[in-house]
Amino acid sequence: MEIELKDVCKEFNGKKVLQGIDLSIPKGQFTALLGPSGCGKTTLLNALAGFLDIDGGEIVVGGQTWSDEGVTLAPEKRNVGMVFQDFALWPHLTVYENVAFGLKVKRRRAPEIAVRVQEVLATVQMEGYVNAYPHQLSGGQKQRIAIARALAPNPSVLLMDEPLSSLDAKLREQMRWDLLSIIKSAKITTVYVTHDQMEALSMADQIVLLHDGIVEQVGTPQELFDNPQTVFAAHFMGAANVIEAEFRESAENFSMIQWSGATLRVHGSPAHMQQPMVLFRPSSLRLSYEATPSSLHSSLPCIIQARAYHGFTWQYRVQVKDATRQLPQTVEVWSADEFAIGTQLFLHVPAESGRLVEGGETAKLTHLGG
Amino acid sequence: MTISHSKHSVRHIRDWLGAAPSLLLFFILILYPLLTLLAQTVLPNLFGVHMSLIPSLSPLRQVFANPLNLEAVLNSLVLGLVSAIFATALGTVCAFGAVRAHRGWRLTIDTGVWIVFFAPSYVIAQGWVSLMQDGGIAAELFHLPNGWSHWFFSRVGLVIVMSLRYIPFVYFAMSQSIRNIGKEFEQAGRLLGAKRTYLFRKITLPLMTPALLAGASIAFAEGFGDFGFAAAITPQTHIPLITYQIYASLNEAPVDYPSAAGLSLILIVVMAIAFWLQMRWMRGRSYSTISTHSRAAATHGSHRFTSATAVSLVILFFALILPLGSTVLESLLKDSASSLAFHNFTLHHYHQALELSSGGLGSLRRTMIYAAISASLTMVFGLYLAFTMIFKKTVATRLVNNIMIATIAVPGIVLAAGFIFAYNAVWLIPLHLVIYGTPICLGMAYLAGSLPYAIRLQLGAMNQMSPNLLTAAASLGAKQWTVLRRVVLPLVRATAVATFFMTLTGTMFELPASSLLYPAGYPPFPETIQKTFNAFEYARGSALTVIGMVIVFVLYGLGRLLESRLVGGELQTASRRRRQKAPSEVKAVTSPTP
Repeated sequence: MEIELKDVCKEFNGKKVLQGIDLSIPKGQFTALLGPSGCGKTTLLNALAGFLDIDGGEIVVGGQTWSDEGVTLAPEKRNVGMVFQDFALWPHLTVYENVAFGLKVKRRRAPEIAVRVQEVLATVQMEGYVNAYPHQLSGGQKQRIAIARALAPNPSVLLMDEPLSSLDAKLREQMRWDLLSIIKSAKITTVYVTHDQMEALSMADQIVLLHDGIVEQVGTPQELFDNPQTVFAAHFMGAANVIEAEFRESAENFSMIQWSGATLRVHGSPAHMQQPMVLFRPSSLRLSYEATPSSLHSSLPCIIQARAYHGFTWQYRVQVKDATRQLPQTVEVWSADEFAIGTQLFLHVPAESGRLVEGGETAKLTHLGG
Repeated sequence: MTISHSKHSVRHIRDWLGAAPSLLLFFILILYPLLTLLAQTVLPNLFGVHMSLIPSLSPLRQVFANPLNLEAVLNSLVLGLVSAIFATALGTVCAFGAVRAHRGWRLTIDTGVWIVFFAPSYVIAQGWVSLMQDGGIAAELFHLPNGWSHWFFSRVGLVIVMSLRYIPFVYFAMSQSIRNIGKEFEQAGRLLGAKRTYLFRKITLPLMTPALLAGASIAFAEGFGDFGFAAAITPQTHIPLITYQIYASLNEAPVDYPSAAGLSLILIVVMAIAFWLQMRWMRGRSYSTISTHSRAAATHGSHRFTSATAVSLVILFFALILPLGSTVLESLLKDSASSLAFHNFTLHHYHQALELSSGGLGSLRRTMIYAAISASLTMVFGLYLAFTMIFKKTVATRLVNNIMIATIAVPGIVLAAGFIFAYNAVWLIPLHLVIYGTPICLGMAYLAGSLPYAIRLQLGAMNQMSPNLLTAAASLGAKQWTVLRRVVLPLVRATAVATFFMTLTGTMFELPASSLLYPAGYPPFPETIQKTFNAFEYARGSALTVIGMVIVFVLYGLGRLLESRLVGGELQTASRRRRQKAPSEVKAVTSPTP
């Protein structure tokens, strides 16, 4: 079912946790609510589940109002499935009893329950564990049973509250694939809460980036990664160099900036921005021993300050000598080549590899260099 | 290989030698008395003037040959079971009433339950007797006819007062369990369509099974082995109970050692079966409801005055206010009082209770000395024994730990009976070690009763300490004594103080050992109270009880104050240390990382 959130607000002890959330979650899609701790993503999920009353606005699902300022439809009447952070499998019930619980509550007949339980257990590849108790299962198996329990009564919406956060890194990677496959086969509208941008990027059809109770940006994973609108979005979606630069001229979609003595062409116009800043992804920059300025890129003298090896790549912190402002700036660069600390190099900035983003108040706090 | 084997043997011997003081202490205080008691059941002439080691089951046969003993066992079993069931229901209601209530109500219920827990059962029982007997407070105040309360002085009445008395054991287990059930366990059920009552029946209550079983089994064990109710109510109700039969076998002529030993054995076996059944039920099951992501369900709607809160307050009125209030009223009302008018109140009974000739003041002073000495020794031994159990894990210390856990469940009356057999034995005569009937024997019994609890408390505190703290001190050359004194003691000093005051206040009203082991002519305070009540001097007995309770509350308050100061001091020291360290830590964080 399609979910519509209109100007949803929520306060806790005077603190605004959700500040006028407007959002549309398309039917059958996988939407990730992404953001740091305290951004309001779990509050929003609890409001969707019916565990929280909202102070203002409206939540409409499939044309039916689930919550508004005066009314909150009880959780048991919403036909929602939920997978919790620590799975919340009832330890005194077997796998079968856990999965069958929702069907028994709905007073389905025993043979019907048995068939449906087998069906969802097959979906999560756990058919052989009907008589096991939760404490006899591994983390990944518990995860699958929690999903099976949520899916068994055929919910209209599936809510997932950081379901992979209890698993170790290796299992999390594996479960990401499995989870996606299960949800895609169930064809159910899914809202997935996470603070891990990799999870959101790799799984979601749509990402809703939340920050301090407001929607920072909504879009597909590619849109959010390639075209972040703000410094916060740029940093949250992956490593980013955000620099302050001098604007020379700008057109509708491009601007010319002056940075460390070089003139660079970047995407975007500062026309409607309060505090425009320039974003360079570390992967779009290159390092070399020689300066080779051309119309395709600019070369800036730099020195390696620190480095870290990540197996498939090196992560460098390089100091760029700013000829104009006499202030050194530190930027992050990823490179497959190895350079020693203290090496004098040239930083190659390809034309149009930068993008203007809204700095606002958060820019000074979050940008890496300078 | 030979060298390795001999090194292993040397270490083995050293471990046992290291644990020898602990083992010796446990042997003298607990094992030897219990073993002699149990030996009596199969070696009936072990303590006779003509000692014989010929085994016989005649003591056990003798127990059941006496219909009174049989009736006592059955009474204790039935009353223990029924009161455990009621206590479980009432304790569960109180736990829900407190945990999900507003902070003020929660504190009120919590405090009330703790007072019920600390109040000795014979004090509560005497309060009920004062209230309910013919011509008692209720009859005087409401002009009730004689015989109005016959129903109360029966098994029904006993079940009521016992159920109310054992609420705390269920309450403590259940309130912790309720707090530990994460909100998500209920939320998961609600999202699957379950209503609150269905969820409570199918999810919440079954998840609390371990706490329910633990609380119920402790309530049963307490009821089955309680001597306080037996001593206070049995003479009134003529309902024989097993603990009273043990007491009577040892204290009334003709003394019947075999019956006392046989009944004690039955008491231990039944209690062991109760705990075994509880453990057997739990075996292979998991009720783990705590995870790093759990959010306590208790906080959900925690600003309400629920019906459970109201019922809890009513229950506490019956469990605490009625019996203790009756004791206070009894001690303050004139003998002829017929209303609560001001002119009917008097302090005469207090004056009478503390008169030198009455023996009340003397017994109070005596008990305070016993309490101070046993509290000091309990604190020191508890600290040392817990230290060896936690940080010197060997076969020997594990053995001591197991004995200690087992002896916590041994009722006071059985341990006291064991002391009679152990320290009045004929084989001690040539060694001049017959200490039965001396203050030393009574003091040792107090110590034996309180030491297992003290060790458990200390173990709890020490378990939170990282073994690396000790390893660090040892690696810097500190000897065991220095480690204990300079590292362990400062960190567990609040618990040590709590242990001291717990024993001090506990000994003030300890009845079983006080009744069976006191030196002739020098009764301790609990025995004096009990004798005063048995002599139908309810007002004077109540006055003595109130005096004792005031002293206990003052001491307890003093202990809590000292404990909180020490904990506060520790926190402040830690906080100061953190503040002093802060600049270097900030530097470390902000310095560039490679």
